[in-house]
Amino acid sequence: MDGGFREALLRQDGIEPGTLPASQRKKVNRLLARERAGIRWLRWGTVVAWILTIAVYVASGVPAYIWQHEGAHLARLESAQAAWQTSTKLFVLRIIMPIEAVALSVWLYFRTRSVSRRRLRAALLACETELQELSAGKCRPAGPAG
Amino acid sequence: MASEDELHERLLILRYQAGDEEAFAELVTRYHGPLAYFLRRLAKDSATAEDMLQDVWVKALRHLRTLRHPEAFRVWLYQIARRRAFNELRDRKAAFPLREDLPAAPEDGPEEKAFSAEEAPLVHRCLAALRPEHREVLLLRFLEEMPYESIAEVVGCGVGTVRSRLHYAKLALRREMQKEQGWMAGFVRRF
Repeated sequence: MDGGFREALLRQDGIEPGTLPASQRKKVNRLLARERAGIRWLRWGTVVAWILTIAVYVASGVPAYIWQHEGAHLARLESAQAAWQTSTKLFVLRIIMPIEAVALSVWLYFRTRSVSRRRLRAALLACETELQELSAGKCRPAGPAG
Repeated sequence: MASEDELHERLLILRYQAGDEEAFAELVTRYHGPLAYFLRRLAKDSATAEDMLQDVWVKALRHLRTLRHPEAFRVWLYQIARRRAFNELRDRKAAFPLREDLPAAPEDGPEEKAFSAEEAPLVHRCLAALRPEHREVLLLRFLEEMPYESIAEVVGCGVGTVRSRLHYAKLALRREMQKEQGWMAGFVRRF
């Protein structure tokens, strides 16, 4: 393409190449802020969901019951199961809370996952090598004339 | 070997992946103009294009952290934009009539004349008259000077198809430009 064609084409649509209008800049900042806020809320939500999950289990006394009867026979386990099903509300909570906590954790993981530090370091190293090659190519002394 | 500009872009992506949000704003500054132009040419109106652009940046923001090959950013970004434009077109039941039956472009034909900056206004006006699949390959070539391989990745077809599509797109554009010039000359003569 001829020099300046791209820029001239963009200007036809009122776009100044290489610049970001103030209104767009605001939109980007808003986008970043919204993303940050979303992750913050998700993080807190996950923490609260796990705390509630643990609280429900602790409150229902089941862990204590199981700890007390560790190594017990099948009969005792059956009675533990009976105890487990005593309260319908608690039962529902015991099911819903862990599911919610796990779902939030998975969601949080997908929203915040990133490339690993190792991969990041490797990519930076590759960039550095290419930069060195580039500067070596620029600084290479010109060969003898003729 | 990558150019300085490409390396700078790669570093921006790595900076964002390492947690620097300002790097994302710099990437938006780089691509906002060409991407806006690309979407405006594919959308039915500028308001839709603006919405699509916003969606593209949201998606890019969400997934850029997991982009494993920073050098593929440009192709990846245009893939998102194209997919978004396609969805919009499909929604209004005007899907791209993609044709793969075009004859192959002449391999060793004369190099087509490049477009000059003076021709930009005319090219801008005539782009709308082209078929969408011609328009998109031309835009990728004009705006980003993408090689055939990258265009093929964005469009999702073979390099041969891209070469042929680009060849016929340029012919169609030249034809439209001649038509427009003829019409303009007639208009000027009449007044």
